[in-house]
Amino acid sequence: MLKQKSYFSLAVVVVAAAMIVAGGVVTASNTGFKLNKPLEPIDTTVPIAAKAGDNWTSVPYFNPYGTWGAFCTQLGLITSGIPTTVRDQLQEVDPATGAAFQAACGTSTTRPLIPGRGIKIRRPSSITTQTSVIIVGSHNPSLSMTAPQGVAGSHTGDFWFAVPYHTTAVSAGDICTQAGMWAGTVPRGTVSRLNPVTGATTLVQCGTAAANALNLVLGEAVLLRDPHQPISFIPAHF
Amino acid sequence: MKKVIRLLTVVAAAAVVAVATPSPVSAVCASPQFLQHSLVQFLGCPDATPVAGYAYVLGNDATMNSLAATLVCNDGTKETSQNIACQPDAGVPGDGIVTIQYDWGGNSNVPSGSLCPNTTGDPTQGRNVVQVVANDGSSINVMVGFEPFTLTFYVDSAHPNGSDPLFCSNNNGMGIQSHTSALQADTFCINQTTPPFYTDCDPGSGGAVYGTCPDGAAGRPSIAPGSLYTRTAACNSLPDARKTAWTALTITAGPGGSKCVTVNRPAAPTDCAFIGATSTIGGVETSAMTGSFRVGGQGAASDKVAIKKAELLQGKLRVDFGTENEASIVGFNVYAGTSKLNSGLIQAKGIGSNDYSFEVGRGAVKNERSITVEAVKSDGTTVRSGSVSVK
Repeated sequence: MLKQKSYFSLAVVVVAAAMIVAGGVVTASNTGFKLNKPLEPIDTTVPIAAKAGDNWTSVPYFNPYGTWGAFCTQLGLITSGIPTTVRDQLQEVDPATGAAFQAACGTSTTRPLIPGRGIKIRRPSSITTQTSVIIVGSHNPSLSMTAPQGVAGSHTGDFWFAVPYHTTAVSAGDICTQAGMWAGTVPRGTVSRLNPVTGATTLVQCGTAAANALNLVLGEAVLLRDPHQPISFIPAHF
Repeated sequence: MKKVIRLLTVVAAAAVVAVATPSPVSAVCASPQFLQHSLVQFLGCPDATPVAGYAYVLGNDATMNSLAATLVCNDGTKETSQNIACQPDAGVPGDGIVTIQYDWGGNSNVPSGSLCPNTTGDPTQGRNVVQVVANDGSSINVMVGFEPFTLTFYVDSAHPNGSDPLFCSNNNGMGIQSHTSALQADTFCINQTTPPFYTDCDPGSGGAVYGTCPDGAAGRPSIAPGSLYTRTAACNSLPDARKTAWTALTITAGPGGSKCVTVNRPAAPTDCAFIGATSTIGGVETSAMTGSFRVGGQGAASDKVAIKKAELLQGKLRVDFGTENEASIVGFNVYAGTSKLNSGLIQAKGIGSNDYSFEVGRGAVKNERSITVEAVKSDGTTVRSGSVSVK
């Protein structure tokens, strides 16, 4: 008993340390979450480095936002100002068609936030340092993730997966396994993580050592794509 | 404990710096590059039915263009052919409000190849030209540069002040100098000018606030008349404006510097001959018509207009009138005797049979009691309704 208590104390200390390192705070009560999500600024010196500042974000499947408008407002994102480039920008991709949709906060306010689908937050150029937002919600353990088979030469099948905050997956390889993505002969399923600081994308193929070496980051969405078969799974969680 | 460790591993992953590896070769633009209205700015264009639009990259229009994609939204609840949701600001069909929504990185109707107009972040690279032709043949031409921090071509930036709407115009740069009708062919002498062309480099435009035209007015390309083309299509259609679907016309010099062309009237009663004009923008001929008008076929029933009801009521004159088989009507004038009552042309829907209503204060009618409606056709000719007396 004493030994278990010591382990627990150690765990609390290490968790706290890790949270400080990560710059975020996540707490769970049953399946409730409150995450302090860092948002990286865009790179104003090399704008077409483009993806720096693309904060692909995971939102709990049950959440109080419901719409893009409420999401912007409740996270304290910038929702006013003209031109709209001075506001935060949101973007998502529909895996069924590959179509992206983007809007500035304060526009398209009734657009629904799709549970399980990651959303990109891009800060305006006036924000030049890392900021953070508080994201709250809880998990829907029965929600199934689906995406069609990736179509060569198109974005159809691109699924930005909102990874649950209490996922059992540690690496991209774990996601491959959970989602049953193709790990046989090429072309294999792939998982991509976009680093919002550098804008660099790390793409790994399922079934490879690289997939097991690519660790997930709390609060981030990752891009799943399987050119061999459709994706359908219920995310595993603690 | 095992669960705690796994959770810790996830959290600690935030400190992991990912190693970049090349992305797989993609046949489409890897990242979205939108060409869109972003705020509540809109184009004021008759939009009872879908509105035609075409976009291309200035200087690379042969390879970088929107092909047959639908990029003009007239219904805020619908999607474009790229499956992109239209902006709610597009309203409903028939409200005269349309928006532009297009993604160069999107799937549909984009030819294979790397079609990202902007690869450097320089706002002047890959400037987009958008041509819109509304239901009644009125049109608008807009050019905008790239906004590098949101990776978007904002149509808003060409709007006055970046906040005022722009409108389709019946000035398509094709003034009819003369029209001679033969048994099976018509000869038109056309004073070809240029249609309205709005850019984010125009003084007072939104380009200054969006930062999409760093060169200011000097960045605005020249625009000049191009050439004349023809094609046959259903009278109640807006034919594909791309030049590849048209045939160049032989031009002879006409009076007053006009260009004279002859077109054969189609035999099919539902077909019309269309005469279209291109422009040259920045010294390069546009790859689509920037204006056009219809010429009725040999058996085509002429556009008809009739007054259904005209009455003086509560200090106003109200005129209800309708059309039959609109094919080339672009608008209407309402007359009391010889006095025109409307200040600007009442825009026609341009397709099918439609009802219209016009109201004006009783004082404008004065002592006249004979009311007529004049339909103005795209070739400059007019058709009058029968007169109706009001008491």
